[in-house]
Amino acid sequence: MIQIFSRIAARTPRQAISASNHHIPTLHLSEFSRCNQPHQGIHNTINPMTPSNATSEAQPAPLAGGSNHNYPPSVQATPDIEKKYVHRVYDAIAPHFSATRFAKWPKVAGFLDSLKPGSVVLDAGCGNGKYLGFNPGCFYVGCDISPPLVEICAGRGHEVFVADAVNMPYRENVGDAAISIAVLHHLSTEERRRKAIEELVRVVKRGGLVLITVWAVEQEDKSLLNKWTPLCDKYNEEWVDPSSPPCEANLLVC
Amino acid sequence: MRLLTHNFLASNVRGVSTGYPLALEVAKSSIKEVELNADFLRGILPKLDWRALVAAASAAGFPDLLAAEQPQEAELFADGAADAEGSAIRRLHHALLEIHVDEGALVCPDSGRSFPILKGVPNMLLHEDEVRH
Repeated sequence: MIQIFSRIAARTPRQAISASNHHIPTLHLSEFSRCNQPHQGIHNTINPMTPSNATSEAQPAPLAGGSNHNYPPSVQATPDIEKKYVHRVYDAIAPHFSATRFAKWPKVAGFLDSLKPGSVVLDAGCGNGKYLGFNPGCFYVGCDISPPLVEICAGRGHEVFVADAVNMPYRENVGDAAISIAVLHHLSTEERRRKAIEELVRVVKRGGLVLITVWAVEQEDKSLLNKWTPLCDKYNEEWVDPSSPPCEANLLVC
Repeated sequence: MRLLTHNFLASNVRGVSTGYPLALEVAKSSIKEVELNADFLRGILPKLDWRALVAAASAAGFPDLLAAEQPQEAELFADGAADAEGSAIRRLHHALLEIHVDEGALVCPDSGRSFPILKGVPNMLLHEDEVRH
């Protein structure tokens, strides 16, 4: 796992947070913000538990971030591969998923604990809502693209709605903090991951905080992989179309 | 869905510039009392769009609950106000956190797109042809 913790201090830079190291080879967290003054603002900390080669650097290419970013249609329209292998799977396994997702990751808990009372916390991809309401002095709003998972959250009394993390229906600057916990790796292209990060930045206020965690493709500690179950033939038959590329043993249920 | 959540939501349908505030249509609502937390309200106050909140409270059946203009902090957080029946802070607390919209819709002010609210959960998912390019 890798965590990226950013304070959207001035939201001015065209500064890159380059996490294109070996931990997450397909995720380049650059062009993070909306405005044009370089070398200001975003202070990022890569979690020291995963030493990385991450560096910050200015990007020479012009950009128009936020809602003005001119993405091709494929960026925000959900690709079929996500509908099939992410949305339908979570819809199908929601009760089991929820029953097994209760442990709160200490780094996330620490982040949430640090927020001031009265903070508005926006959880993009809230799953079964295990972080919603973490500290009672804050106001949590969660969204997820899986209606069965959102229903579970609502049943627990949380404020939730169904939406896509790539295209969140918030007005700008409403959040004191936004969290994206184990979500970005569900998005199938770098552009969609980038857009999802820009949405997190858009919806938090200046000076707000964004916490992102994603799974690393290459875990340094191989023992961490032991808790995951390799996809067996049964699931391959049920979830994978015969015309799909062959699945190898490195596909994991996570 | 509480009215505080409504205050933060906007339509992101393609072609819409602001999409805010969403008109609230209420078919069924409920009241769930929670303890008033003045510190929480003090933190939330700067984030509110007051006009949107007044309109939402009215749509939920409470047209006279809130003043048309946002009260001054000195009035809201005056000594004893939190315990005084009918005080501005108690009415604000009631509007933000105790009124729940269980069934209804959120309607984009620009496009007219209606987002349903079922069992207290808005469905804000867009169709493929509504997504911004």
